[in-house]
Amino acid sequence: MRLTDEQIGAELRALRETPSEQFAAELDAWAAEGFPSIEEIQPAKHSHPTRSRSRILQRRPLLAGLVGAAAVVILVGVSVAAYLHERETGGMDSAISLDTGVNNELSAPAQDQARTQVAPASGAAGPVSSIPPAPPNGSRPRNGRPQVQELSASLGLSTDADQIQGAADGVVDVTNRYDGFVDSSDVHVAGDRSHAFFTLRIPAVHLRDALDDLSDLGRVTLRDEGSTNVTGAYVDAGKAFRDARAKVDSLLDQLRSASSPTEAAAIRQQLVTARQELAAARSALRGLKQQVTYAPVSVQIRADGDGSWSIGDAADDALGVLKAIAGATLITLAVLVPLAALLALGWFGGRELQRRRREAALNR
Amino acid sequence: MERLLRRSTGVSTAAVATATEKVDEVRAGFEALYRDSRDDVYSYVAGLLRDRSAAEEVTSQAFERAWRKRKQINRRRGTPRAWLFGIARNAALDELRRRSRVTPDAEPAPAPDPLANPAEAAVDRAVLRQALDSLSGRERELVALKFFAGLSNAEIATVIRTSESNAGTRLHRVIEKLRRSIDEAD
Repeated sequence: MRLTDEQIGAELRALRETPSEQFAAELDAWAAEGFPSIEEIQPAKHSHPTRSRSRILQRRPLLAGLVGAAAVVILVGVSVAAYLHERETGGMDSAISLDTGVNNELSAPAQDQARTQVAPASGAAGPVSSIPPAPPNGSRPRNGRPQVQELSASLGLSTDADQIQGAADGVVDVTNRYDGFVDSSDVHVAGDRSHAFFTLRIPAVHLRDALDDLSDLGRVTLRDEGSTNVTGAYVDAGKAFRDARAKVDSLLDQLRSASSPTEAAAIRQQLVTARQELAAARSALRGLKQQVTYAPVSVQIRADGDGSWSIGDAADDALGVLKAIAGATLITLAVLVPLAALLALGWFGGRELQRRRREAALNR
Repeated sequence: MERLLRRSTGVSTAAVATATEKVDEVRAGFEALYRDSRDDVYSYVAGLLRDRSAAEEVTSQAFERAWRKRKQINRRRGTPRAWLFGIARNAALDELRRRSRVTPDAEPAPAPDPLANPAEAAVDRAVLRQALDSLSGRERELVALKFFAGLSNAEIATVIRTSESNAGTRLHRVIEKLRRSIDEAD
């Protein structure tokens, strides 16, 4: 007789096992207590450190909240600090990097070359010292010839109106500190329209340090540094000087060997002209050395208000802080999103692996 | 909850009452689920493991895990029973894996025959048990879910993560296989 599905089902149900009365009673009692964990009942037998640690986090949402809040506070703090630093420096970092990129003649080797011009300039009065200097050790000559750079710089500062005079005094102090001098100055104190303009000459060897000190006198609105390669003019001036000197020496020799007064008078006439040419060449060379040794620096200081903090300033600051927070958030997300994606991938992969292992138990 | 109530000074009484009702509702729902499913979970696990002692251990673990995760019950993903049996299944499979690593399968304990008069049975129980033993683990699980635990085909599909039609088809094949085994024995 063929069994129906219902009959087979009924017979299978008849094989169904039920829990023993003792186990059912224990389970009911356990359920009545709210299913305390096995670890709580038998900590020694079932202790599992990893599981216990994870439970601490699961059962303490307050701790997780505090960690999250701390992360937010750190994020905001870093953002505000970054904004304030940006405000104090007036975006100097970016300006410098741009200048460096555009005008790489201001790099350290170029300054080293400029420094080499100081020593010969101090003794430029005599004909021997007028010979163009040899390249110093470590300089970077081009085409086998040492390069001579003429440096220049412009600095724009802003400060509160009542601090213009103090900033102007600071400019003079910095100039004196680095053995420079003030070519011209114009200091005008008149409330919001106060300003101070300076044209300075700073030893090229100290230019970068002097600019750094001048930048501390206010908020930097502009910092521009430039250089001009004057090697050609320098070489030409030196050659002209040497030629003029040689001509004078030659005429002096001819004068000593002159055989007649008439010939001597003619040579003396030529000697006057040659000495004038020598003086002109010496002057040109000296002027060029002066330009290379002392870099022209223009400084402009302007008042940017009466020092009080207005609603507009507050709005600007708020906007700046928001921008900084947005930037920091973006950077944080750039780090966290890929990390979270990896973790999620690992989590899903782990779950899938665990599921497959469990399913495999049914195949055994 | 009492601790929450002590801390929550200044919180509106209505909000606290609502939270209290929700907690009570979840607890009451779980207790009802436990009452309805206790024996069924045990029967399913015992049918899968064929070991009464291990079945008791795994049943306890399953309810403990379910109690911890009771807030995850989501009716849109299936019935609470299907959710509970999913947890019990994971616990049972973990136990099967553990046993396979530690020792070879123990000899299944002979189950008591619940029928007072075996002569009334439509089929010899020994033959039926032998046919059950010939089933694979997956097939035996289907029998345990359907006939020992009393789950519907939809609930079985949720537990083993397949479609309801697929679960029904697989179940039908298992019954056919059992029928053939019984016929061959006769």
